[in-house]
Amino acid sequence: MGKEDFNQELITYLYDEMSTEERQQFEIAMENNPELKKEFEELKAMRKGLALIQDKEVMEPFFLWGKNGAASWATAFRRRSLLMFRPFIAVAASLVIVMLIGYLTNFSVTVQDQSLFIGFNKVNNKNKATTYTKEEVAALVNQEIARNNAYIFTRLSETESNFDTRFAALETQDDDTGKRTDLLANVVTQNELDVFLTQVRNNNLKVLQSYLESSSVQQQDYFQAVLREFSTYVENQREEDLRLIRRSLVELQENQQAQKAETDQILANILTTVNYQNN
Amino acid sequence: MSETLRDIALYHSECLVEKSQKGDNHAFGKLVGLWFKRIYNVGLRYFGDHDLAMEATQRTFIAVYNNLHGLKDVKRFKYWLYKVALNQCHEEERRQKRKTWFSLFQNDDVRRMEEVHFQPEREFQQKETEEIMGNILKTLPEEQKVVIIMKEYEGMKFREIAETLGISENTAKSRLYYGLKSLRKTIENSGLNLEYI
Repeated sequence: MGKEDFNQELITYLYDEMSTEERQQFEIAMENNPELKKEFEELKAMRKGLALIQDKEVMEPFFLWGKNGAASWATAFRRRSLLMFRPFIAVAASLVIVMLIGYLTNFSVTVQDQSLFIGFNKVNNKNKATTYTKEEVAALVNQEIARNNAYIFTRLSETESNFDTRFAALETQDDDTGKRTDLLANVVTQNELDVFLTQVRNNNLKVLQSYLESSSVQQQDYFQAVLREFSTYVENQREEDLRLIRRSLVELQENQQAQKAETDQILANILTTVNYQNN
Repeated sequence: MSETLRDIALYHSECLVEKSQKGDNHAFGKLVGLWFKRIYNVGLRYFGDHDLAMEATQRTFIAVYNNLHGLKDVKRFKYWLYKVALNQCHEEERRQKRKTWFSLFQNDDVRRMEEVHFQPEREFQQKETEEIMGNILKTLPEEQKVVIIMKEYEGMKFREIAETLGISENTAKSRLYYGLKSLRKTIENSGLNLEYI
């Protein structure tokens, strides 16, 4: 028996398509051939693996059957055909959407005179850059310089005029002020000045006394408030300490009672043990 | 119970076939209802893909509808149906290969299989194991895969497989043998635990 025949026999046995007699012969052969048995076990294991793939439930699509051939209501074929164009359809759809949005928002891109205009609605060309020649630029600059110079000269003239006016006014004012100072020196005497200073000193003294008195009263009030609060604190602390001492005494008493009870129990046990041994 | 009755009905479709051949669309609808799940599962094991399996199944029944009048022996309906189904699967696979260049992305099944291989902890789950087995089965050469599907899942005798595929019984057995060996080798190369499976 060749190898190929052998394999076919193995498969026939594996799938139980042998007659009883053939099966018995093959089993005897397998018992005498460990390699054959091993191969059989491997194939059997493989079949178990294949058995893991279960049947799947499926909904039968609706069919329309006609005289001129069959047509499936489920357009699976067309759908499948479309699938291969899916990337291209997706790109085209994206382009259409972008174009539609651009159309609806009046998006526009315009190139004018080496300038690029991107915007929505109508592009505003008012700010369009104008091209000038070199001579035109020079004329514009000169014109601006001349206008600026004229402005500066005007402002300078006005400033000079203002200065003149103010100087004249100041000269007149200086004459009047000198006259008033001399007059004041003649009117106020030394005696009157001493009286005025004394009066000022007395007023300052009164203000200082008033401030000190007021401050003293406030300090007294504050000190009394502090004393009251301290007294209250000390009283509370004392009560708290007393409570603690009382609680400690109670605990001590309870401990003593417990200790006494334990001692009694131990003594009772000893007595019981002694009595038991004596008996 | 209902499944048993359904199985019995599957193998006694002759009456429905005869009525369908006489133009009874209602009978043909019943015939489709009886066989749709079986043919779908053949396609599912062939492709490992629901959409392709559904497409092949629908094409199969359309082909059956168009060519049923040519079937002389109604008792051979089952073999003939499987033959049509396998032809449709084969054609669908060819169509998919032609469409491959349109695809800009990696095939989902391949990606799924790679994910499974790189996540060993998930292999301990029944569903994942089933998926792995399905993906490995899909990688077999068509002639071996078809015999395994016919034998293992459709429960056909070697004689019936030979008749359906137009090959000898011994050829069917050899293909099955090498198919199983190839599956085992693939599993071992994938680093999966065959003992666990």
